[in-house]
Amino acid sequence: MVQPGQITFYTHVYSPYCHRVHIALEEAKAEYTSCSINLMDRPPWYNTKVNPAGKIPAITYGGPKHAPEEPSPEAAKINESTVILEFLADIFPEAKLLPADPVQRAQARLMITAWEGKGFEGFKDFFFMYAQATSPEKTLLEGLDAFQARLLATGFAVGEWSNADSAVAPFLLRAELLLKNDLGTYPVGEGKKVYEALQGPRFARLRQYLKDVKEHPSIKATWDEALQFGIWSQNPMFKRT
Amino acid sequence: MPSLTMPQHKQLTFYTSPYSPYCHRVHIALEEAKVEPSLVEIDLRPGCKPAWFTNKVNPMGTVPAFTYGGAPAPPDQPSPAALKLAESIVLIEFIADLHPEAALHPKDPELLARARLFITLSHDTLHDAFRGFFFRGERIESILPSLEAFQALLAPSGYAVGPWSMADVVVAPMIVRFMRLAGYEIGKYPMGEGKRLLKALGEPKFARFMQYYQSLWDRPSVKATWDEVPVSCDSPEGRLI
Repeated sequence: MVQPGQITFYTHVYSPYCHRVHIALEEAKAEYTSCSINLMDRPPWYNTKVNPAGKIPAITYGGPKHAPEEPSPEAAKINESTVILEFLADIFPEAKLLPADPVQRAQARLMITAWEGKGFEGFKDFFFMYAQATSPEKTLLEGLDAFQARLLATGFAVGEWSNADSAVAPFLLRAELLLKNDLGTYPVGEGKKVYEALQGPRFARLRQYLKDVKEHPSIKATWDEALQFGIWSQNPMFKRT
Repeated sequence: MPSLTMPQHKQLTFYTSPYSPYCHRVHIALEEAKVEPSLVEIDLRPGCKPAWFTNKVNPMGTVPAFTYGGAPAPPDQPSPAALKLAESIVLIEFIADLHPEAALHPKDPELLARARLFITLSHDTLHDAFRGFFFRGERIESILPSLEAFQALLAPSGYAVGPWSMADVVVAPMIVRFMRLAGYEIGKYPMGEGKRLLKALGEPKFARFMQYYQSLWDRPSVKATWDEVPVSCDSPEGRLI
């Protein structure tokens, strides 16, 4: 597969949004240069040269190969994880990041949009905004159940691996990690309780999905659980008094 | 771009509401594609939405929604084999995939990425201003900065990213409602703010916005799908949706 242009990827390992793009780049067997951006200590050139919104992930595409801090004016600058996932699907057609069939493409896109609603809301409420949320445990479990309900009987979100899996798996992997280790803004023990609830029959299909996800090559290449535990267990937001 | 399997003629049923700007997006896209689905109007007023819609068509209970394919069936009993789809942007992408000749997707992947990024960035600018003004009853001082930020996203001339694209389909309904309903003082904003808004948008700093509105208003698919009379009629429910 001839890669059409250079790709520079601005990212950080903790970010589930960056993880989406990292997975897709691996799925596409793309050649890319990674540049780690710490948003707590953002380099002064990042906003002006790469992404005026100052967020990650972002990519530059095309133009000559460049040092990360000096993107070529010829290079396209693309940000927003779902926009990048769609772009990679367009420039790497053989990688089938989205299925060829319009019906399946639509199903994959709907899974992503549905997750961005209730799924992400539960993730955010339970782990990050527990005290301010109305019923964070219920929202989290309902979001996970809604995603599970859209899955086919076996395989990935729409059968073969697609952008739908790349978009949602980063959140599921982090959710499992945090729950198992009782990490979050919730009181002690609440994480472990939800983790136990996820071991029951209601979530059998989701557990199988997560098992299949962890075996998938682009996940193996981009998810280091020990490293992630090290980062998340140090998260100052999760410090309990 | 991937080569997509050409679909045989399959049934398309579009569940819609005449007042919904989200449904309006899909009507514009269908008009651009010259597709005429079966239309089924869903009454969104509290207590009026039929249970079969949530049970059989869209578990999220929202319009716009499609069924596609499967044996022809009554709208309240769609074939189990039919694709059930929702979320206006997912539906527009689906129409674009089924009808590449409709020019909803720019052929150049970078331009298409720019269109999708524009759509994403329009949520926190134009869309937020729209909801603020019409639904949260805010004054113009509260929404004009968002409209200015939206204006800054526009290409220097032409449509949102230059040539017509799905980006225009997504934002046209909100812009048309701003420009066509404010004059009637329809919305939750205080009486008189409609006139104030139109006056503010007439100032030189909003020249690009007004130019863009005019080009949208001149687009046949936008005009053909905007039925001003029922929307502008006063109704106890304040039908804006």
